[in-house]
Order: sequence, then C-alpha cells, then structure tokens
Amino acid sequence: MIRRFWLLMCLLVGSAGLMAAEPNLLSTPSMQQDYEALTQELRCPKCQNQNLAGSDSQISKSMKSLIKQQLEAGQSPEQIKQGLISRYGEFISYKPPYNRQTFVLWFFPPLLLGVFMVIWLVRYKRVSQPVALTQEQRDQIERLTDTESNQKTGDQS
Amino acid sequence: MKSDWLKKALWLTPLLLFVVLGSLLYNRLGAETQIIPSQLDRQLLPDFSLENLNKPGELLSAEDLPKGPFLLNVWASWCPTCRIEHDLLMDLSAKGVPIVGVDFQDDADTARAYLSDAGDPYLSEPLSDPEGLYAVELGLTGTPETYVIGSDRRVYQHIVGAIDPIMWEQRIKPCMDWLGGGQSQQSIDEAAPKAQEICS
Repeated sequence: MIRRFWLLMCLLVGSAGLMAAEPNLLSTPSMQQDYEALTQELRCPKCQNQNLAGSDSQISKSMKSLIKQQLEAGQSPEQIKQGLISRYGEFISYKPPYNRQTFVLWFFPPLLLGVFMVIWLVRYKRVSQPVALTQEQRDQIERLTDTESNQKTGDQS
Repeated sequence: MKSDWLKKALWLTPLLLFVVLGSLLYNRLGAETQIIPSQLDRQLLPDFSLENLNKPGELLSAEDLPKGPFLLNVWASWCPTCRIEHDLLMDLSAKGVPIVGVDFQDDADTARAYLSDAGDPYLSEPLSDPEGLYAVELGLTGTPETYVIGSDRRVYQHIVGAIDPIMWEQRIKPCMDWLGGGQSQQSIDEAAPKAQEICS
C-alpha cells in the first residue's frame, strides 16, 4: 500500500515537471537561461499577477516568441527588457528601478521593520529592567497578601 | 515619566495609521483607474510590414494607411468580445469612419470566414499578425483594443476592451473630430494640452 502510494507520488511529481518544460529550446544554453530569466522577471500585461513564464494568455505567447526571436538575433536581455518597458511601461517588470516614484515601494518595508525593531527593543528593555517599587506599592502588596492569608485561615476554620 | 509619554504615543498609533491610510486613499479618489497607462500616447504608430489577410503574400506597410485620422482595431475571430464589438464597427464603417483592422494570432482562413459572415468593417485590407509580434509593438494586452490615430500618424487614444456606442459618442468621436479639424497645422507641443483635454 505504502509502496503504491510512493509510486503514485513519483508519477505525479514527474508529470508536473514535464508540463513545466518549454517545448522548443533556444540554440544555446546561455540563451535558454536568459530566456528563462526574462520570462520569470517580466509580467503578463493581461493577467497581471502572473509572469510570462507562468502565463498562457495570447499576448504572453506573442511576447515570449518575440523574446526568443530577439535573443536569437543577438540582442542582450537588458535590451529586450528595455524594449518591452518602452511598449508597456515599468509596470511590465517585477523588478522596478530605484527612483523617486518607487522610493516608497522599495524602502517602506525595511523602514517599517526598523520601526518595529525599535519599539520592540524599547519594550524589551523596559520589561527586563528590575523595577523598584514605591512605598505605596509595597504597602499595597502587603495588604493584599495579608487579606489572602486571612482568607485562607478563615476557610480552614 | 518618559514611559508614560511613550504609552500615550502608542495609543495614538491607530489614529495615525487611519490618517495616513485615509489620505492615501483620498488622493486616489477620482484618479485614473487604468492600471497600465499606454506608452504610445502621442507617440508615432510603430512601423510594420504585415501580410494582407485577403491576399496572402502581399505585404502592407504604414504607407498603405489612410491619410486622415482613423481607428486601428486589433481583433481576432476566436475572440468573443470582438464579436460583441463588431456590430458597432460595421455601423461606424457605414458612417464613413475609416477603420484599419489587425488580425491578431489568428488562422487566416477562419478570419476570412468570420469577415465574410459578420461583414468586413475594415477600410483598407485587413492586416494579419499571426504571431502577434506587431501587437506587442502596440503595447496590446488582449483583443479587442482600439487606437485612435491622427493624420500625423500619432496615437491619440488607446482603448482596451470593446468600444460601445456611448464610449464612441462621448470619448472617441470628439477626439476624431478634433483630429480631423486641421490640428495637424499645429506643432505637437502646441497641440498637446488640447489633445490632453479632448482625447484623454
């Protein structure tokens, strides 16, 4: 039973790998690498939360064949990326550049993390410091523990 | 004393967050909702060399485009939204609006059958873009999309999705009328604010 289960798992995993493979490879392995990197980094303009590699939309197919043709024609990945950005805007890239418009996008998360770290440190420091009680607080404790022990003795009687 | 102050400040955090979030959202009220602004806005229509859908083998280029303002419509026979838009295109073409068609990622035979069945609204011969490479030049996201081109061959509007009679009357026609009214005498910089106003 367990062996059958593992056999099935192997079959499933294997077929998923086959489906993900691109059927027609480019002429050199380095071109193929560039192609894969580009289709990972660029966004599908139709289905906006998918990259080109993961998208089967019509326009993604067109963009992928354009990328292939341009790589085969000897263009650099950066040139191709810039070409597509000039057609679709910075939006098309999942890696936005650093500039004034994207400042908040890039630096807000680390800033937020920093703020939380500071708050946490301040709080942590305060908790770990032994706090000296005031006379009033000590009296209060005395009173409270007294009543408690009184109650206990009361219960016993 | 100091920790008291910090405690009070912490209590203000929700209010502060609310104010920041509120002002961010308020800023976006009534703003443009189109996520991808067209990069072709007031840019020259990219050059092309595409096959004539009706005469396979014959290549057409930008030289074959109409001289005056015209609509460039990217369509496909497999696209249901294009079918919805088709009646309006037929109407417009009957009224004399020049429409150039680009057939996107289509089988030529099916596309020809589609046009002979539903009518051919395209002024010049429909262009065939079987791999959709020209569509990428146009910054297309999906069919149908329509571009308003001026007599200076610049793109003045880029409409994503089907056009409808209301959109035609309110948005596209005013722009085309203005483009047909001799704006080409003005330089691009002079005409820019007006184009922004009418063709946005």
